[in-house]
Amino acid sequence: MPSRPASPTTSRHPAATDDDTTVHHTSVRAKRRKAPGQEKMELQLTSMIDVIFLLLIYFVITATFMIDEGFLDASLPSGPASAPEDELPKEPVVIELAPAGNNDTLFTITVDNQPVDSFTDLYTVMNNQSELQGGFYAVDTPLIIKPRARVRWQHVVNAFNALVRAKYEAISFAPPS
Amino acid sequence: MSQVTPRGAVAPSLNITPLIDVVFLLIVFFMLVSNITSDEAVPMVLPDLVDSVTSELGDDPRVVVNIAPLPATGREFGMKGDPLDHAGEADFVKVGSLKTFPMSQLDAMTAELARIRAERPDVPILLRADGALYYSSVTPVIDAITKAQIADIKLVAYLPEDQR
Repeated sequence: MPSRPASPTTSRHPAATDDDTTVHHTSVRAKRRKAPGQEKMELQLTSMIDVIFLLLIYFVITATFMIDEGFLDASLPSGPASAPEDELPKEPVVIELAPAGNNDTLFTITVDNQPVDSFTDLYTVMNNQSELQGGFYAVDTPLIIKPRARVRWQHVVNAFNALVRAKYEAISFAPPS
Repeated sequence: MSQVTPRGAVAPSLNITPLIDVVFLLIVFFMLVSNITSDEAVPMVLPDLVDSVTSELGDDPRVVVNIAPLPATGREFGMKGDPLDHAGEADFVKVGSLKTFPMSQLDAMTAELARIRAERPDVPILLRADGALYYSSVTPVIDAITKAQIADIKLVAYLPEDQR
């Protein structure tokens, strides 16, 4: 950047003659611009930066970064047309979920009426029963998750997750009982 | 822009033009991001799974069926209420980022899903429901999806801790 004149008196005034002749027709702003010794016109950036920073902080705070979501493949019962006719239907395994007491966080899990303590246990039991682990159930054994009406969706998906983790392929949801 | 004062000292001044550029870019970024997230995702707490085996969503096209919980508090004076404070009942269903259906009009949602499935058969349909909803609030929506002849849905839950 070229250095500024040290003082107004040493600078050559470029529009001195203009100023003298047309003083009545120039606007205040033009006069200010042309006034000798005035600073060069500059944008007042400080207040703008203040506002921009406020906007920035607002959007940073309100931007709700979601916890990463994933999905589980589910299959819904698609009507009687999908039932295989050439083989005997396999006996379904019913996993029942029922609330225990008035507390929503307490509930019971039963696999074919055998109680299971937790979703980890549900996985362990079903995994050990799987034919992949030398057990009795084929991977396409129909598993029916049968929650009561007041069971939270979280528990339903948890049961589903445990069965998917044990590599079963035919899991469906029963209407609330 | 350093200026030489009469005494010959250099008055330092910050060059703020690139700073403003960057800040503007940040603002635009956060504005766009907040719009995207609020469009498709109804605020809710998804099921948090034990030993989750969920897969990542990725950026593939998809249709999200949101089941919004009915806020139990904060609905006074005609306000919307806090979606994270609810008793377990469903409020409405939102399909994609535009179509909203009250729980009493799930037949219309069935028609909409059937239309989407007919137009784009390969687009997966995701069911995104709050973990604290009662199962009885979710089943009408599942039934409505089934009625649209859609059997393959994906249940949305949080990813396992180590993949978040």
